[in-house]
Amino acid sequence: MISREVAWRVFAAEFNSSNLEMKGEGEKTPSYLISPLGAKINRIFVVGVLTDNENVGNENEPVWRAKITDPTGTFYMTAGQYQPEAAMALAKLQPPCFVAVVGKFRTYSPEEGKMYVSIRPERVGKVEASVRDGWVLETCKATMDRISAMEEAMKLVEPTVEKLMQIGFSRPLAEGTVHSLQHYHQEDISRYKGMVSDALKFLLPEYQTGPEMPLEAASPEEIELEEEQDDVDKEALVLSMIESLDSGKGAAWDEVVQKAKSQGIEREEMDSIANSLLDKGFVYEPVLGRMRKI
Amino acid sequence: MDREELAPHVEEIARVLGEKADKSKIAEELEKYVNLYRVSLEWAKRDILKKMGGNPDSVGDGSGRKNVADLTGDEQSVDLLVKVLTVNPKTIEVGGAHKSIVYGYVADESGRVPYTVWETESVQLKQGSTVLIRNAYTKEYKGTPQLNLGNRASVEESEEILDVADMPSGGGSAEVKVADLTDGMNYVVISGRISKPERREITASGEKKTIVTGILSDETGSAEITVWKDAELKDGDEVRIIGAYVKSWKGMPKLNLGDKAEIQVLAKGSLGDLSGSSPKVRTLEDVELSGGAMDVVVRGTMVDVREGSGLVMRCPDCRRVLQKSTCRVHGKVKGMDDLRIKAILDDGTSSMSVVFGKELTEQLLNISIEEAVKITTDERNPDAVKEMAEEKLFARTLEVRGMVRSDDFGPMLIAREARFLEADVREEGAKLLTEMEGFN
Repeated sequence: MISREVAWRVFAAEFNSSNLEMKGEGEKTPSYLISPLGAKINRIFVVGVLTDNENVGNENEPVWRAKITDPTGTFYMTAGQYQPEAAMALAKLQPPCFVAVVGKFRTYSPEEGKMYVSIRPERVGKVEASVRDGWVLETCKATMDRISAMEEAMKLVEPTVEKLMQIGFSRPLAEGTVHSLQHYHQEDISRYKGMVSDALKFLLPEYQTGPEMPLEAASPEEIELEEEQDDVDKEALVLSMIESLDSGKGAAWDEVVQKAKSQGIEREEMDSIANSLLDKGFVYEPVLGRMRKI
Repeated sequence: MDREELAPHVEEIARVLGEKADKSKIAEELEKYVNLYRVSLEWAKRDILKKMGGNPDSVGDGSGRKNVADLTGDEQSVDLLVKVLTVNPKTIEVGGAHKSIVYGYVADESGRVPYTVWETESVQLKQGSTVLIRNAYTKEYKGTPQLNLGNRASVEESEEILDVADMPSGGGSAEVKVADLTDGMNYVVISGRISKPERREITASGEKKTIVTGILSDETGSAEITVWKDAELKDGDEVRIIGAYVKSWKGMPKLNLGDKAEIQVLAKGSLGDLSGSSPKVRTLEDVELSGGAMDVVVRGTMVDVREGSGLVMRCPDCRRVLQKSTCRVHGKVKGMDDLRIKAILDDGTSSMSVVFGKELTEQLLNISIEEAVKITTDERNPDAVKEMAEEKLFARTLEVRGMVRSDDFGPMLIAREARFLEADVREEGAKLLTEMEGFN
């Protein structure tokens, strides 16, 4: 009996920070992605906002690439001919909308020591906002469970799977925790606690301040124009960076982000600039994590 | 070893030697053997006894006095202070000759253990008495220790009072809940309410026998129970069962009460209110580890709707689902419409196949079977209802009650009740946030 892999509830920030892959030996043994908090992921369940959805293949052989955001970051996913149901579902969806995705992890390592992760969806479906809220809550709980497993493990002189199971954690979590401890820097735990509490505040109206409204000094049209101009300038700057960092296979996105930071463009802003450049057709992603000028 | 550590062993040797014992001489000898010549304690004791005219077999192997819970199943000689819970005489056949033995349970504050007295002439036990058993040995049977009183064993009545009457646990088998039952468990101690008791006549190896079957329920679930002898069980009886064993059928653990098992009928209401309540919510991982369950409540997310869901046609004779109007057994037949959903439920701890029959499919999709037939015909799409199920169920959280069976394909939940769950994210979120900030 081969049991089905459980679907882990993991936030984008934790998922995207994962860079430890355990490849299954032989054909039937599954591979796992170990997250910084010890999730032993083969399958993942995600609910968020579909912000970008594009067929990067062609009419006959569609390859759908999509972005889904949660309160902590963005999940990247690609569905091609081997995920016909997910690809078909994506083809019908118009961003922005709430979607749920069940899929398997994929990794891409452009070079030694670097790893990008994405989702290969098995099933994609449009959902209501309440389903997203439910997922955020559930994922907060699951993340806290992993944090407590991690903290218990760090109290042990020699943490082993058996000892963690005796404390009451499940075998997959105990295994993931032990692997994670050997690989990741554990000072990140407090950062993840902060992430969970931010995600919880996201659910609670009393913490929602709303976007800050600009003062009445300029008319909305003027501001929009100004902002657009500003955006265009930054986009042009980023585009030139992508071009200059490209040595033939596309520019590594991490390097672009770093260079942009030195010019005063923050990471958050870079995401929207990248989206805009992709939308306008100035650049494309030959592979995940790399950008090329068209 | 210093004198203090050796003292109990000196006492033990002196006890065997009786009146002729000279404790200071024994202590001196023992110290010499153990500390000077470095002989193992066990051999030192045997040699000293032999030298002083005692029976070397009557000292322990170093295990000496033990608590029931500490028994390992390979003690060659062990002493226990226990209360005799049950005394059952039995005649067995050994090499063609009949032999009387006595078996039952003894217990101390740490636990309970089954025993057998092989020499009923020299060892007599009285139910309810507290005794010091000396020089018994243990053997392991199916992972549990068994206490044996052979020809070396002796028993002394003791004045000590052992608090075991209300002891909740048994030796190597603490009192368990229905949800804890797994295939192969022995000496199970469990309490619950009996329903659907039924006396049955069976023929076992040519002999007529009366057995009693029924269902035992507690707050974690229900299990079928079979008493392999005649017993008085009434519907609604609250009972404590001692010494049952578990055998699973299709993954569902079932309780069996053999000769050694005991049923205590408890006062009404002593188990609290169990009537009509549904069992506690269990995680899918927990249910999977049990292998199955007769009555279970789980909560999880629908992560997939599988092939074969929606409107199906069944054979009117055998109810098998038809493929192209053809039954695997009865050939081409006029099929009957039916609705079902086969899906995967996942709660983050594990995942499980779940099947919803016609009524639950109608309820979850909010359509009648007639409407389902009409939609399928109108849209000329045999998968119309399946697609509807995908749309309505995917990523939704459900609470499902039903029965879990296992086969080669893993466990499957056959749903009896189901409802959509929507968490109160504001309330639960605020609670979690308070808890978290309390930790920081």
